[in-house]
Amino acid sequence: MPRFRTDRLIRERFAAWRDAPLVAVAAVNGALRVCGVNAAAQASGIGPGLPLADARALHPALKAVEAEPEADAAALDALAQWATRWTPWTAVEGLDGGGGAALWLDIAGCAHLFGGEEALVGDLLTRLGGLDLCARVGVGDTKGAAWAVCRFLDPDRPFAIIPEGAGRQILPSLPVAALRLDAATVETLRRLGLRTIGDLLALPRGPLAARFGRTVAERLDQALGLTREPFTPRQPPAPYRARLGFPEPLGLIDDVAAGLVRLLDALCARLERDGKGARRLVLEAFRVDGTVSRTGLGTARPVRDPLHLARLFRDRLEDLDAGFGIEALVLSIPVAAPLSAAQQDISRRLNSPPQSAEKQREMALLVDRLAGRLGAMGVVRPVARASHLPERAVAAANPLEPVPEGLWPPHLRPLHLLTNPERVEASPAPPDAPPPFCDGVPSHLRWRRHTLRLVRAEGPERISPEWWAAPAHARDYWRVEDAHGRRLWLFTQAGEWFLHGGLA
Amino acid sequence: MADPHRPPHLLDSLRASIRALERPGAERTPVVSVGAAALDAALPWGGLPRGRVHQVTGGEDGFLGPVLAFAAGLAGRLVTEDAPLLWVVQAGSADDALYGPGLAALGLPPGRLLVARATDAAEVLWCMEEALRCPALGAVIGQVRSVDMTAGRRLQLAAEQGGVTGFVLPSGHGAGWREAVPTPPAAATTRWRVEAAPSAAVPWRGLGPPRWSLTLERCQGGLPRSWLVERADATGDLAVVATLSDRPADPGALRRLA
Repeated sequence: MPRFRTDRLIRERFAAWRDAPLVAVAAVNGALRVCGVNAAAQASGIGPGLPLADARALHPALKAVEAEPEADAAALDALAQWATRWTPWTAVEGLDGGGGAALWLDIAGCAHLFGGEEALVGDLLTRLGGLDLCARVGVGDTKGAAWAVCRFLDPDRPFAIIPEGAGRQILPSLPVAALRLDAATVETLRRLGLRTIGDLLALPRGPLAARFGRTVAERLDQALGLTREPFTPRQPPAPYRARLGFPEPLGLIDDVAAGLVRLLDALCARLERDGKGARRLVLEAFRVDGTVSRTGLGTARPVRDPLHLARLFRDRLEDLDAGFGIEALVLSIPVAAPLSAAQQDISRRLNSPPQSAEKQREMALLVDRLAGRLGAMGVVRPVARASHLPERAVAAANPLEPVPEGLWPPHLRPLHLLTNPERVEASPAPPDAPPPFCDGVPSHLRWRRHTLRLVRAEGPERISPEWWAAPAHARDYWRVEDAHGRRLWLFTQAGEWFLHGGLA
Repeated sequence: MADPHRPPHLLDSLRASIRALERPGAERTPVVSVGAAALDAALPWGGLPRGRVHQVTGGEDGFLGPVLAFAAGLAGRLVTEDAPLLWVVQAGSADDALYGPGLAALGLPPGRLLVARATDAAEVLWCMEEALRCPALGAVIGQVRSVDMTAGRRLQLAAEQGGVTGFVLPSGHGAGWREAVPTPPAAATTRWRVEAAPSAAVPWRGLGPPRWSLTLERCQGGLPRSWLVERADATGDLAVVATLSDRPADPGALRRLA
């Protein structure tokens, strides 16, 4: 991909410069120099390494963008991951100084799945073209051969494939630059009149190695497949795991805690670099007798504060059994979640000032400590849910998440709500009783071993069942007070009376 | 020679200096209103001191509704969005039935209330102690059947350290009834007993504001008192109706009025 850098910029941010000259520039020794050109700029005679001022002289309407090597590398890595659709073995060759980039694909044993090498390459080029990436593909028996033909064979076609075993016939006609040598060596060889690989092959090996060092001979052998060149595939991101070994076995909790702090520091630094926070941590203690004792904890929100995590682990270290001594500690973070700066603004409300960072940390620490001992649902925040049924109007939320909007209607509700309404024995009031007892409110209630004589009642508040749930009768809720002033929340449903909660 | 026009604040300042001698630091104790000026005046601090542990119990019949409402109302004055209340209950017990909509009406909307569900009584006390040490909280309520002297002292120390106000409530038994077990005294700064009292008749068909008989049973540096209070549903403020001695104890008299 000879124009990867500018192709990426155009694709992501500068679509208008697809056909207009655009260059990427970087400061080299205090001067801005071109380090990537698109096709239009290249047509104007601008090439990598040119000072920006000279480039502007060649084309005054030039668009210059500062190069972003890290974003380029990230995009290239993503591309290598994407290329695993053709083969599991892909690797990043890297970015060169001229804004180009290259990927390796080991397609051995994969090509037939796509109908042969040519079909695979065609598919690859079509899809890269769909990503607006200008690319050239070379296929060869060895890494060296593929590299050489990709850049130097048939420049008019978008790909070059040398059949199996044909390297010895095709490679000698290519220039020495096709051997992945540095520019200085290529220049020296050119001055000596060694222009093609064939010229080098004709020379005896001994003097060649003596004159140019081992590199030239090695590259030659690698290209022709005479020596092995390992293919190192791209690794998936390393897991969050840190190990600390001890020269003497540990037996004291304080020593383990000190070791844990060092592990936490190392892992938290990595989490910070990746913009993540730990949700679950596992600490394994490898004992001298060859057994492992482990403990772990979870956090209510992503955390990457070593102090916070160390305090959370304080209770857990007692779970570790030191046995005859601990000779190594391994801390791993199996679950990490994104933790951005914005997310640290917990429970901020529009009308209240932002909580101080210290207070937030204290709160998160408390919730994690309690939840660590009580379980994940040990600390909850009751929040409103849109339902008229009293028992369905509450949901449990994570206490550290922002409080969702929405409140309950301002009806008087009990402080305690029985999970299952309990049936009460109701004695009907005499027919000539004063209101509200003439509405069917009982004059006496019996619930468990309590007998209550009702003196006042307020209601009814009719709550209809949710038609999409199981069919049920509507409930008429009453707030009642007995002779001692005790207030209860009752409802009547299909002629039966139920107690649903105690009022203030 | 005594001056008959001695400024009245002299007596107050003398009382204050004696209090400062008796309990160093008491003068600077930040307070929260109990809900009525008459109640605040009965406390030596001029209100309920923050950063201490207080105990609220119910009456002999074990009905907990007024106890919960009184404690929730006090906590509602202590908490903010940034410093919520943590209410610790025993999971699976009858206490584990706290109902958000009811508490929201007492000044504890979802943004100000967290509920911790401990597995046993010892863990309730552990949670309370942890929470009382956390300055990010506004108040802590714990429901536990009994608190012995040692646990009570631990809670008190944690509250003073963290500056968080704690309330120890009895454990409940369904719809606000607790088992009729007398709650032993905890090492609390104040102990209140709240019992339901018959409410006044209202001219409409329904219930008026609830009335409680509120007793200050124990108070460091103060005298026990009792009041009959009425809680305004809208504001949560309490109003002293009359002292118990001034009115007939027979609730039947009220009913005849109605």
